[in-house]
Amino acid sequence: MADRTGRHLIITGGTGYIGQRVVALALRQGRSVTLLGRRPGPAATRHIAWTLGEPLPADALDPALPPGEQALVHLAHDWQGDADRNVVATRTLFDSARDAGLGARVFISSQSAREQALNRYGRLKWAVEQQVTDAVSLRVGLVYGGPIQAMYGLLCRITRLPILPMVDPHRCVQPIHLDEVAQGIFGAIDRSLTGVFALTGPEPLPFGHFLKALARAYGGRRLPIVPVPLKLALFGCDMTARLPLIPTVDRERVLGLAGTEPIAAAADLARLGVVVQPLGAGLAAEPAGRRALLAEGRAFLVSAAGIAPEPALLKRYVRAFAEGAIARPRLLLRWREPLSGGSDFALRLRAAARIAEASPRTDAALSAGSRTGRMARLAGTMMLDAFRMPSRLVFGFRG
Amino acid sequence: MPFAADVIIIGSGPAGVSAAWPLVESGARVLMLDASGGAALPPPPSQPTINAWRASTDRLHDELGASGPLGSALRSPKFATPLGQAILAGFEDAVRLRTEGYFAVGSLASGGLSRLWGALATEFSDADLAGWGDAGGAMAASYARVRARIGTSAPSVLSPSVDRLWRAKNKARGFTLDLASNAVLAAPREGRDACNACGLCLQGCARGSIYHGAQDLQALRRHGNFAYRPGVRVTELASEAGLHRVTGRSAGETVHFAAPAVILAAGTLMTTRLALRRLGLWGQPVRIESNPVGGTAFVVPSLIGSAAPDRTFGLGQLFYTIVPEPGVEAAGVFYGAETLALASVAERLPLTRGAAMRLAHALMPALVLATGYLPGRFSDNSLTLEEDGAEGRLVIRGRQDKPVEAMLRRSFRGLGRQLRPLGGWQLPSATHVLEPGSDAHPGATLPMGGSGPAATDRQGELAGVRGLYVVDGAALPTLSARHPTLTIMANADRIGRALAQKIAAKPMVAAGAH
Repeated sequence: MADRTGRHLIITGGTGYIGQRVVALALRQGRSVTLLGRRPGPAATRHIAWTLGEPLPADALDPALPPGEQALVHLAHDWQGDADRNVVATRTLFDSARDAGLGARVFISSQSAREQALNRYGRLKWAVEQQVTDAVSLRVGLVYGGPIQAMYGLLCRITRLPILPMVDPHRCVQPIHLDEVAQGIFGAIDRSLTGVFALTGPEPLPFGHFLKALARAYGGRRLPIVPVPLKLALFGCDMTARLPLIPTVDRERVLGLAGTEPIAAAADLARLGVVVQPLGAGLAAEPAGRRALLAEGRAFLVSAAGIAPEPALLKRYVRAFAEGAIARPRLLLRWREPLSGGSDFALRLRAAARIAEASPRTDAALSAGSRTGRMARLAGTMMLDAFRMPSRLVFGFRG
Repeated sequence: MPFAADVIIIGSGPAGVSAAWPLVESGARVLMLDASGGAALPPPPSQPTINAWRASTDRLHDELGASGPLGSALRSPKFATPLGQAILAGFEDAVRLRTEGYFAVGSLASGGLSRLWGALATEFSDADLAGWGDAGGAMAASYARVRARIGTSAPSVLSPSVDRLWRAKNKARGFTLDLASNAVLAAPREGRDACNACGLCLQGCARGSIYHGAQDLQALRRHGNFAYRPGVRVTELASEAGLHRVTGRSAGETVHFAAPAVILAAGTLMTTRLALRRLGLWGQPVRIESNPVGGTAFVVPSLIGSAAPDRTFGLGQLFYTIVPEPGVEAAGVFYGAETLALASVAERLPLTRGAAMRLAHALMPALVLATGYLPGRFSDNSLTLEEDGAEGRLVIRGRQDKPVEAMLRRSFRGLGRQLRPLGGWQLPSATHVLEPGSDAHPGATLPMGGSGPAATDRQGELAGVRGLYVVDGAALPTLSARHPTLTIMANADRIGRALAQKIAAKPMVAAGAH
């Protein structure tokens, strides 16, 4: 149910990573949507051809609604353009929107927005913020979740590398889920806020931890990270543009990370009406996270019980671990089960064993045959386990 | 028409119903309150044998629930099942409990913790009752009445491993060994079936063979002079104009009841909370006893790898006492292992999971598991009702000194030596001592005949508050090493009987306003 301010949204950049989600959720909430840009959006939206630099088209507004109940959300950014292009163009757009009487105008800025930001993107965003002080600017943090696109998509891809060179992995980021960003945008509109607000996760987290969390939750992998100095990293970025098979990393991205400063977000999130869930829970709920946990459950149940797991067992495993997948070895799990039980890997193997035990097939397999047969099988299993002991002592996986 | 009660009983557990019976039978008007309500408890499994249950697809849900973390395999399975979880749910919040180094459980369900107790029906020894003064003499008759009412029996079947030890029992020297007496029916009664040795005890008894307080509640409710009001969380007691006023929360509203006499039977923790609040003893630590408890395991080697029997029994099978030190009696129970999940043994084995499961499967039929308890006087826990600006927080700090732990381990080693000639070989790494409170028998916070402001007299009347009686574990002078529940019930019966006589002699028992 849309509040009175944002019953009709006019969105630029609505086909991008954040824009798509804002459009979809807005429609679900019963708001109507007009997209400004080159390409149209989903069938339920209106589209008006527009480019950055033009003012707000007069027919962008819904004639059936008073202008005060309509809002502008500006997500479009020209990556190639120079300062004037973005700053002046945004000023033009927002002034014409104000003159048309729109109830709310939202500018999507960035956590890196600062006058002396290391990256051009951050400097540009800051400059725009100065031009639209009577609107609301949302400084969005590191967004994750949803379609594998944009920065999030890049990070998902690089966390699949076996080893990751990274500049300044201790520098902190503040991850926020895509849906929470959309919530923040709606909150700013519905509550008629003006000024600059942080729309980031409340707790700063070292970037290296964020990447490891991605690798763990989506791939069940430990991700070794090698810190590299900034100059070397920038050089490496230039190389990635030339080399095939390695995802291209724009040096601007690296500069953006290197220049990120933590910002206090708790109060702003409260005012926007956004509750940011913990990163682990957010990742575990994503399709990639759920798939990873399913794969883990399957692998552990097979290792613990020696039989292909039935759906009921798998379901129980997945539901036991809402916090998502852990790093696990891919091969020879039994040879890597640590002797001491404290690690996540050992705990989950034991959980898998308990679940597997509660299945009639396991019970039947354990009880099958004569006593002599069972004891012979037990002797064989224990001898094999004796062989495994040294490997488990040395190569036991501690995650 | 509101029910004008002679007595209000707070709590529908074994103590509450045991106090209720003599009062109801004498014609007194009894109102029983408890905090149960909300969703019905999930039904226990009803397969005919444990092997049939293991072969069914119900087992996964019955044993591990549908979702959520799995809980520890090393604690009793009773706590991890959905039924067990439902029985224990909400207790910590209702009592506003915080523990430090102490394991506390309680139940808001009707019947209280007896909904999942181990059903051992032991009596305190004469030595234990010696400290009760003349109250001790009246206990024999009360024990007999309670046994007859709830129905007790020895196990009809023993696990093969336990049976091996039992057959050699005449070789027992230096410790006593008997068939356990459990609150389990050997013959059917109205509404309850006899035990058929299905072995599903730890999952909940669908046949009603195992006694719990709600069975008595059902019978009590057929009396016109008994009223039952569930869903009331009692928060406060007060006295005015010769009546006791009981205040509680029910469905988000505040409710009040009043009667000339009130019996506190809400379980040691809740009863003590209410009593301390009534006495105004905020911030004053009170001694709370628990039985130092541990466990060990024995193996009968000739039974390794044998098939699991169809008929078995999941509760205590044999009861033993042993003297680790002169003047100290330790007690415990022997159980078979085949009603437990393999995980309880497999998780302790440093093998890979598959091998651990196979070895556990071979070992379980040969295992005898034993608990061991020391008398409560060796515990050193304190309970304090701390101010927090609202109803107050109950804080329990548990302590178990090294000498006490050493005594318990010595007791287990002694047991091991005694069982060797009977054919049991102790597994040394299996001996473990549990956290204080793990016995789930807290008591002696308001001891009968105790000194100090937090005490009761021999009739369970709270010090300085006429007409307010304590009949659950809180009133025990001390905890024996023997399980206290039957004693608590007998004591409640004794106190209820005395109160019934008092009420009959003077129709309105006036409580002195304090």
